[in-house]
Amino acid sequence: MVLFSKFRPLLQTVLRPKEQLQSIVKRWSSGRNMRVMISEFHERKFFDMFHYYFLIGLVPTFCVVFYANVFVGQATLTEIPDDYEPRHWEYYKHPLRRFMARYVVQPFDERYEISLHSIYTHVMRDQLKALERKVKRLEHARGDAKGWFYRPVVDHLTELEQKKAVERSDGYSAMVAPRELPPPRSWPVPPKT
Amino acid sequence: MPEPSPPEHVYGLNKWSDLGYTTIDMLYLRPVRWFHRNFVERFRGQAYPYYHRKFGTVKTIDECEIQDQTCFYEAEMAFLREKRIDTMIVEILHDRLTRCIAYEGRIDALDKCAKEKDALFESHTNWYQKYGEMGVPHSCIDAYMKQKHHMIWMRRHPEVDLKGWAIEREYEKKTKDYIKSIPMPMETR
Repeated sequence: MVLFSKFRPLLQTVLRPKEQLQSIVKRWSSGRNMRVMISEFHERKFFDMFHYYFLIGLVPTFCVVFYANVFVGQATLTEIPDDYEPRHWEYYKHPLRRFMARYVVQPFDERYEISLHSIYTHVMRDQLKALERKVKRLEHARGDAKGWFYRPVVDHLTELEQKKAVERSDGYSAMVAPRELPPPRSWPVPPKT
Repeated sequence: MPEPSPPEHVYGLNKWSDLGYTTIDMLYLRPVRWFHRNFVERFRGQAYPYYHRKFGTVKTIDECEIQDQTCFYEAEMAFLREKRIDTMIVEILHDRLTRCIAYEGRIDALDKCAKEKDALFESHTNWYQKYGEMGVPHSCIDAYMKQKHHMIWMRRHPEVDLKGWAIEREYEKKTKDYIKSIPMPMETR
């Protein structure tokens, strides 16, 4: 904060206003202009706030990075032992990179396997859909099997109507298809034998 | 930390380089080395390992079944990996030649960097034969077809020098003859 008084001439150079715009010439002779400058208070406040908000992030970051580089250190390259399968973060050298790989980022191999799985699933799905379309097409064309393109919708009104029609009529109906014929009627006219 | 490079034969080039290196040495290298020796090496924790990732062998594109999309994907990934590795190899060889030229000087490099130059030429031509001139984007199938057409062409034209060593040697000879033809006093060349 003490050094910031040295920045004053810099700020004045940067923010020097144009003479004809900012200078007050009323009742002054020509050539004398009032320099509009930044106040001490404003300057100190600006730098204070700038550094406050900048260092809030920088100080913890710097401490963490310092600790990781100086006290933890980077890993040494070794051959993979025969009976050991390294975890996915053990393929990285820098400790912070290992941390990110372990807790933050999706592993490299996992991403590969997920891609393979999604490809397989899409392929299987496409094949099944194609099979369904083919079956529908054939059933519709041949019409030799009931069930696939008959929608299993329960139409209560139609069923009731059919039942009522059966009761009203003599019982002859192709839709109902009864197991045996109804008994012969006796009223009003007995049938001719 | 990565191992520091030994600063042998730095002093003695010319007074400006010596002065520059001395400045950098005093301002940066010596304080950092002092800090590393006295603090970092004392307080550093245990050393721990990291490993080099090994990719298992997968089927290449010519061994895949028809309509086997997962096999295609794996072959494609393997192809891209191989391409990146080959690109890095060519880059490293290029870097070696550049360093050799910087070390020897532009004129002496013609004599002393011949091995690096030949290695770079060979690797670059091989890279181009394998991955080049296929259009962007291209797939592993395009590369496979290129290999097939290349082999057919080589079978039909066995006498043609595809890598261009003759042209390269001729160009080297021309350069050396030109430099020899410049009239200069003996102690300078």
